[in-house]
Amino acid sequence: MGAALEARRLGVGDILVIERDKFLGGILQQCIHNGFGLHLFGEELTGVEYAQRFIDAMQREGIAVMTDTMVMEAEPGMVRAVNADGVHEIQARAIILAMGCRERTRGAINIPGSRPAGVYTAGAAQRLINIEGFLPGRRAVILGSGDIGLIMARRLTLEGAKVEAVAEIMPWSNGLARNIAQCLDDFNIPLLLSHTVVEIHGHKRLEGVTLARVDDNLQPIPGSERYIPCDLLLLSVGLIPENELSRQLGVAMDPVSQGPVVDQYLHTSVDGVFACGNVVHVHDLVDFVTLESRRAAAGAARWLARPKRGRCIPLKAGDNVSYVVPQRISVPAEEDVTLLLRVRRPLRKPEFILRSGEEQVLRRVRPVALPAEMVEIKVPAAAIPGAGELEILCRGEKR
Amino acid sequence: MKTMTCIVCPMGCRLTVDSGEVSGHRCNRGRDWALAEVTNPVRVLTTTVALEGGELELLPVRTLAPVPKAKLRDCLRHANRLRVKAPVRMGQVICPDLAGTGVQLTAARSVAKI
Repeated sequence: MGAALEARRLGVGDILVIERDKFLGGILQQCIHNGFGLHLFGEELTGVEYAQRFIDAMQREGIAVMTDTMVMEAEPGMVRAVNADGVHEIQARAIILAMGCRERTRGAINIPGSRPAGVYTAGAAQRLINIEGFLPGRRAVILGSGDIGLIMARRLTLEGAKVEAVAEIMPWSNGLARNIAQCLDDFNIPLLLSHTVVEIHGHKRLEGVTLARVDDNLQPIPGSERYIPCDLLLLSVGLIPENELSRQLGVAMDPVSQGPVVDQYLHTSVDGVFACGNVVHVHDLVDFVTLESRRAAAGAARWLARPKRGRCIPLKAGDNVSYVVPQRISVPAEEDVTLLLRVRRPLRKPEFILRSGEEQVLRRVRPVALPAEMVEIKVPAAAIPGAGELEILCRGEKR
Repeated sequence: MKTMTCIVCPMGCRLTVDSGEVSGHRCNRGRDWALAEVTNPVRVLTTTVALEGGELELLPVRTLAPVPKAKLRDCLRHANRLRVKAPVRMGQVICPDLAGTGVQLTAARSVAKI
């Protein structure tokens, strides 16, 4: 919706948004908690309100929407979608991919034990509670301290369930500090760092889990096990960009961000195919998703006006940087370029250096950098060289 | 002296309040929040209420202003008794005074009638 509205603002006439769910808004529709929109609207909205503002704007602008519609395949210039009315072949000179991401599941992290009912991803439980109106358990353990896990700890508590603990395998949480404060500390829910689930008990229904402390190599320490009875285990163990369509389109992928390789216009390696939001890389804040979607819309509008692509120079993630978006930059850069990146480990006084070969292009220092918090760095257009290779790296003290 | 993590925005500043003096904040909202947190901590409550005749059976709702933390349970109990009829518009007042706090409960989204 962010991209569609921006494209309309930029004068693109014929726009269609395809959504597989019944309502627009994606995951925001189940995010009934507040904390959205501070950057964009200057106020704290619930996820649902944030989505509704965009839905209302879409209606005002008269942008065409197909809901309950699944895109089956796409190729440059054409999207094939299916819904209750049948199969639709839709011509499009520009396609913006905005499929979001999916949760990692139990299978992705190989927890041993039986396979009883009562093991859910945190987002699935969020949908059950907030949209469908079911409480999936009364006594819960949450594995993983990402924001969805923390938010669900509070939500379950407010709905009358008892959350025994949130276990996190890393020595730090990947959730926002304020979510640890307002979702766990407010309700005296213990956060067990360097802990994981080593066994799931129960046959038909979950009866309990065994937690253990892990060592520096994330291996369970024998003798540290303890059993916690519970009928609900929520997994909040990471998100994976949903790129089946991108792969089918033949878009080049970044193995670390797990999303398409893009330039500063969010243009993928396939001409006329753009991507934005969690399908490119998992964001912490929806505001940043919207800002990125606007850049993708600007890129698509630019492409529609003049379907020609310039030369690209690669931008590599160097020391302490796990990934950076964009992964390449179209030159000559006409406008300032926004870099979004994540650090590999918590760092104090991180110093971000953008360099071209041995030459330093830009240096930025921040008070602190955490893997859980995306770093944004603006690079003036004039600073970007017209050739060669760029690398962004980070130096800092370990925290 | 009391230390806390600011929940006003996603920055999550570490705040310290020492005899009425706040430090560690990066904005005035953070300072005000810290002072409230040591005297009368408040939170925005978000939950769902039962919805009849709409495209959904649950309506997401929020308190328009933060409510005292100590009254969260009462607010929830009150919200759980509410029944709303579709259609609903975002921002519509669902309850003018939630559990005697004087705070309005409003709809977080619009839901059409079926």
